[in-house]
Amino acid sequence: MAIWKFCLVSILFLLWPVDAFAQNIAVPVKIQYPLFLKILTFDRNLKSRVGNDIVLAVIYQSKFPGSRIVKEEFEKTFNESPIKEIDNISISLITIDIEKENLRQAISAKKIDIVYIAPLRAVNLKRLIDECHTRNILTLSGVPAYIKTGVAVGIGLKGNKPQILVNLPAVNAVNVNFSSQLLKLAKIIK
Amino acid sequence: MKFQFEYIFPRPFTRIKTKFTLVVTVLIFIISIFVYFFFPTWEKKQAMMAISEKAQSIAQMAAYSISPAIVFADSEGISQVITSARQNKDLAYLFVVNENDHLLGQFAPGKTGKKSFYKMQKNHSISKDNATYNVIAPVLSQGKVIGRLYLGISLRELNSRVSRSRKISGLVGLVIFLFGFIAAFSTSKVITRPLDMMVETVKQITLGDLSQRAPIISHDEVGRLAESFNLMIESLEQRTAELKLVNEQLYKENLIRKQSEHKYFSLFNQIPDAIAIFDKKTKQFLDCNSKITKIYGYSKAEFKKLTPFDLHPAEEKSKVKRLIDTRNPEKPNRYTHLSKDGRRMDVEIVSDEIEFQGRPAWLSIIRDITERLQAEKKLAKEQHLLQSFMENIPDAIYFKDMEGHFLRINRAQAKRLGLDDPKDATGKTDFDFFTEENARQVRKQELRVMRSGKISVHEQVKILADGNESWVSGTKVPLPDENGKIIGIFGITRDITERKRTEESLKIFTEKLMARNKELQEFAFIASHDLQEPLRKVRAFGDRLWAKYSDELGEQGHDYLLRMQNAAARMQTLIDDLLAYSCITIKDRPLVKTDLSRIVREVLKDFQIQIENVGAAVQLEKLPVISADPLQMRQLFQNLISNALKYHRQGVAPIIRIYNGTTGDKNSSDQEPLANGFHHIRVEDNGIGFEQKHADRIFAVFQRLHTRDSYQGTGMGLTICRKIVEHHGGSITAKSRPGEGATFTIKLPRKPENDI
Repeated sequence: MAIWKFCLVSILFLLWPVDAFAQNIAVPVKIQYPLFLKILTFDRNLKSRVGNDIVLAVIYQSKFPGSRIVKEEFEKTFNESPIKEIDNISISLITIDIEKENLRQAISAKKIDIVYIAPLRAVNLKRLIDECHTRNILTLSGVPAYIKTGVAVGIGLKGNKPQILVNLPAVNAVNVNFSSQLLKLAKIIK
Repeated sequence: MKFQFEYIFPRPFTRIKTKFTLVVTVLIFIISIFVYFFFPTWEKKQAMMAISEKAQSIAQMAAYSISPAIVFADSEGISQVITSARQNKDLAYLFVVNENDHLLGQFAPGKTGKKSFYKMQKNHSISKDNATYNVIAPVLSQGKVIGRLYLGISLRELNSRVSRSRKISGLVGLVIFLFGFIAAFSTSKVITRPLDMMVETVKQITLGDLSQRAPIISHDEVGRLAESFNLMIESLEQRTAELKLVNEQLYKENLIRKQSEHKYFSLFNQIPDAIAIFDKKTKQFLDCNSKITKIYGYSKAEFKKLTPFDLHPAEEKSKVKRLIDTRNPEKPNRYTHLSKDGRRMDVEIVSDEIEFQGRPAWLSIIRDITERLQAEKKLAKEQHLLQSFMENIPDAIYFKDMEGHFLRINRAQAKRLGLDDPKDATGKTDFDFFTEENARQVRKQELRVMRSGKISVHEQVKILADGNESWVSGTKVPLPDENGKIIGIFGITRDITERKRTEESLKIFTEKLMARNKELQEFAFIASHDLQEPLRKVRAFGDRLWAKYSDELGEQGHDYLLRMQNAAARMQTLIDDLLAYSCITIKDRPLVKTDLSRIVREVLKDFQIQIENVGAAVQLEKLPVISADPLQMRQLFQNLISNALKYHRQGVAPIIRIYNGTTGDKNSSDQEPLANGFHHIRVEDNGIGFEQKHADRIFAVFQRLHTRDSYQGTGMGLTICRKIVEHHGGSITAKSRPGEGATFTIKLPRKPENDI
């Protein structure tokens, strides 16, 4: 009887709507960062969408070391990079620890334009993405699996080379108008 | 045909100036036309190729750029591409359609409202108004056509550039033509002027004036031509003079050549060898010299009807047919030829190819070698004889050069030298075979012979290795060459050891014999001398008996006593003769100069009465003075004259002739050859003579051919004569026929030191 109960609990645990299991990034952050900046230059609606500055938020889990390390690398790369603007639109970086902050409140409070999602675990990623997209926030991630989940733009790996991953419905959903030249280079996920 | 045409319509004289100007003008005109048409057309073609490549390039780039915009329905991207393409100023239009020909974007200034304009264009075509160059490029995505680009490049600028180029080309062509015409005209004038002047000069030279020279008025090819022409004229002038000299020389050479030909024909006919020339193909004789007619007996005309085969005997013809065309001019061939009368001749022929009267022929020089071959055969025979002599003679023969090297030896000499083959001695000397002392001695003798040129005969004893003596008799003769110069020596050596031994034995035997003979002669002398005493007593007592008791003896006693007295007297004669015979050698008196004429005259005096009794006629000619014993000589002639008087024919008066036969006498019946070194004194008579077979017998002791009753004598007269003559180193012979007299020939040695 006890065994049967144990099995039932296990099945329920597995069926729990948490789809953000811990995933690893495919490409180092210091490569991801300039690539994302270049991708953003292909967005014809960037200016109209973000105004004169871009607030880029890194969402991570402080208790998950993999997530925390990526967040730290992202910060370090940003700080060390000489590129701090795109087409005269300045970029500022903030971090959101979803284990400590409420995401919705944080987005509202900090006027976030773009979200970079670090590797997460035990998080309902889809709800998190929907929350961003509902507010026309472009989502980026270094974890390729997250693009299929709904993240708009990601960086994967094809062979030994980085590959741009574009979730076209997600991109259209957040009113981003990427140039077809970019789309030609990227792997389109519909 | 051409000649006739030109004869009827002679070609007019056209000046070089006219031809040159006309040709150059036409050429320049063609060049001008070419410049006018070629360069603009070429430029347009090049520009069209550039425009085509440019349009194709723009279209391809645009299609490539616009492909993702069509895929992602990126109208803004399409516009961007069109805008980018418009950067090219020559772009006339650009239409972008998708795969369903739905227009996605366009650039068509001036063609608003004509949206389907592009559909009428063809790829890589020029529009009807010649304003645009049209290109259609497909838009591809992943190998699939997803749209097309219609693109036009404006040709307006090209057309204006071509038009401008054509105007410039026309102008340049016109300028070239004008300047070319002027230049051609001027050049032709410059070129032809000196030529005209040269023509004038040539005309003067043609008339025979070689002193004319072409003026040199330009320093170019024509000037050089004029210079060369002048040099040629100078050369021609010199050559003309030289030619004249050469003609004279040729005339002289021709004269010499004719003389040479004359000499050649003289030589051809006078050469000692026969020469015949026959056709190489037909083999018919073409010519021959006069020697042919002498050798073969044919006339020249007869010979020319023959071929070489007619000269050969039947057995040789096949050989001649085989070899007649393969003769070696350097090697004579030997054949047998037949003369006209069938006489066979050995000939030697040397032939060579010549060209005679324009056709190939053989020239054969024929030499009659019949006599030469006979001489060669004789020589070979003599050589064979010499060789046989050399090989078979037991005497050793050798030939040496001046240095003493053996040139040739015979087998006997080889054997003597210890060689198997006589050739092994060639080049060697005596020093290679004998002891140095012997060789040196021989060499000394040889040098003496070669220097003196006199023959040396010597006998030599050599001590052999076994200690025995070996005697050789050598004759060394200087060897002269054909000019008489002494080039060596040859000699004959004979082993005379056996002969020497025999001589030695003979000498001993002779000495013994002489001793015994002397003893015998002494015995005879003593015996005959001692016999005289009892005989004298017999005769003395006989005489006393006759004187005192003849009356008492009676008739028979008288007869016996007379017979005894006669026998004693004959015995006395015999003893006297025997004594005389013995005394010849026993009483060895020295020889003195003896005048034989005087001796004979004294003897004749002694026989004076006897001569008169028989009525003999004695002819005494001059006899020599010799070295002899005068008494014995007296005895000799006394005996011979006595015999001549005694044995005369009955009723025929004796004729006795005594003469010196050495000087030769045509009247002499003696036909014997005269021996050198001897006086031949002959005593000739016309007596009864004797059989020649008794010629030796009559000289034997006590030998008589007649009975004592017929002719008195002891038979010792001629024996004594022979003994005397032999004692003087001579001999005596007799020749006679019965009834024809006899001739006694006394040979006495001629001793120069004693002759007078």
